[in-house]
Amino acid sequence: MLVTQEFSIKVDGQTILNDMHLDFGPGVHVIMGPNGVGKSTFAHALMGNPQYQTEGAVEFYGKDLLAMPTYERAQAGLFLGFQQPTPIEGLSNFQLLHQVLSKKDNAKRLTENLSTFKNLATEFKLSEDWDKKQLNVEASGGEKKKNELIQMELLDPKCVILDEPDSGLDVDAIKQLIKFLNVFSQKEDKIVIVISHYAQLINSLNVDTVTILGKDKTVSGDLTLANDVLTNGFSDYV
Amino acid sequence: MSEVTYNLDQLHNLVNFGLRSNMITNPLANQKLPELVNSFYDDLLQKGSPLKNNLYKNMNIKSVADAELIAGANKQNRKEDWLSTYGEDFDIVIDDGFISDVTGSQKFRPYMYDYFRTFDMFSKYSKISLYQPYFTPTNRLSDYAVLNSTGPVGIKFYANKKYSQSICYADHYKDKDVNCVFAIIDIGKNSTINLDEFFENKSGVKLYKILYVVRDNATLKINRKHDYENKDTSCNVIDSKFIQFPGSKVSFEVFGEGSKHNQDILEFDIYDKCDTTVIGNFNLFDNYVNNMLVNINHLRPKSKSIVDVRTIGDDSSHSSFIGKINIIKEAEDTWAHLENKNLMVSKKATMITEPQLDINTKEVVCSHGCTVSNIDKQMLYYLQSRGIGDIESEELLKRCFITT
Repeated sequence: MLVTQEFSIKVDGQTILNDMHLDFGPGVHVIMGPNGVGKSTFAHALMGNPQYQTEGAVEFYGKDLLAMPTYERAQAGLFLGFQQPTPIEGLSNFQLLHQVLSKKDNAKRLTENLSTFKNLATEFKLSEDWDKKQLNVEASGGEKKKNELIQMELLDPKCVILDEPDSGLDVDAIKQLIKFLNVFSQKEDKIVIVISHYAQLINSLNVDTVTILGKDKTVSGDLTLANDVLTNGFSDYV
Repeated sequence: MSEVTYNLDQLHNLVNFGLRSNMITNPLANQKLPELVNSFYDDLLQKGSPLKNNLYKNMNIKSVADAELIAGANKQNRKEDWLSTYGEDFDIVIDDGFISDVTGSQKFRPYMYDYFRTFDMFSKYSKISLYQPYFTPTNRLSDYAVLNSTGPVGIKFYANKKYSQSICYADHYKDKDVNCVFAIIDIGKNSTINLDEFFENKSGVKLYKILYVVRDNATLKINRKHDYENKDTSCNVIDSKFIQFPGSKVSFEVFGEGSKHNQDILEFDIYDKCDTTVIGNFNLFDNYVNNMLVNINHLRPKSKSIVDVRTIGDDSSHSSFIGKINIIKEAEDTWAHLENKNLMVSKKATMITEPQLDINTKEVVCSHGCTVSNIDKQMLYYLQSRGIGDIESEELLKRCFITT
């Protein structure tokens, strides 16, 4: 469970999002909001990006999330799929995962992880040597997004926050993303939070809740809320 | 002989007082290398102490200048059993005026082998005087290495051979006297030679002048490693000069963590259609110092050179790099690239980079890129967001910096 109480986020002392009371249980949750309102900020603040100052409380499966450094939040089972994944020269796509997976208690064999990685890369129509390619270097926007999904699958977190996972993806890749998220969210006790305005994606997922973020107020509802916003805009809500 | 404490500036006075043998007082050196001895001695008298050379302005040279040295110490600490000390790891051991095979036969004097022969000033057939034109005074500390060594030693690899060898530049005595090594490595025509070099640290100062003569169409690959032990007390000044004959290739790689003072000076004279690659990787921490100067002289047409030196500076470490590319008028169709990247991990670290290009012909491709950057916070955050710890993420990014 991911529960926020009186959760506020500031950058350089300026409040971006204020007093959020949100509750995400297992299932699929969509977050929407006007441009620049702070949807990505919300995701990165939960992940512990040091750029943001936070106030209030966030409980993650009984733990105080805000007290943890970023890597501990990840180790506790939180995963953020970046809108713009960071390129790192000299580190291959698989090396990154191997670095993390080799330290997990239930570490699988290297060959098993590599095999899973390669199968997923093939499924996403990425190049045969995708495991050896440098992380997010000279990759297209769509390839980077697919790579985030591969990481998510192999790391198998309890809760994923995907920041506009559809951006940069072509029509076929969107279909793959939908299929992928629907399978992932069917797994036991998985929390999937998707930041998106893409109607096809939102309507193709088994959405449990929809949250509209505003600076000083949040509005929650179900898929009807999302479709109303997609038709009429945000003005009635925030 | 009584002990005398001195510093490098006083080194020459010791000769006048007869407290230290050197090339000037050595009759054999004067007989076999008269031009070299006289030119270096005259230059030193004329220009004065190399420690004042402006070249060292960014090199933290004070630790070398202030190093307390002791001449005339008891030589009881000589490492007699070289075979057991070095035999497992190296083929050849070189020290001041001394070269030894430690592969089994443990020849303590120069010897002839199937692929090469070693030599010193006493060697009958070394034709050592023919190397004199390659040595010119530089007013650098390595001039001391030439003048104050017991004499040059060397290895002559024969023509048309393929061979790999490991060399340890060792310290014969566990004393605090300055150690001067004057070595010549001669690679025969059409040969392909791989050298693994290891420079042993000693408490005090070690000065080296090493000449590499790479003859026509020969290939020399050097993998140089600095000692990771005794870094706190060791000052090393290694001055390497490469003469590349037409069609030759040199690939030079160096790895190290610095020391109390470390100085790697590489100078290349490159003739027609040569290939030269210099790769340097240094990981500095604590208060260790590493200085590197790479001077590439393109003297004839159609040669190619690449210099890529990377340094990580943590804690209070100090790094300086000077990269010089000189392309003279006759060296048309030269292709040269110089790159020096520095990753400053600590605010207390000092990193200085200085590219110098001197191009005197239009028909060339010459580029350079020198940077000093910090650990990218976004990269750090990305790795941490995947569950990699703070220190582990930083170490991973350092590895990435060195390997790309």
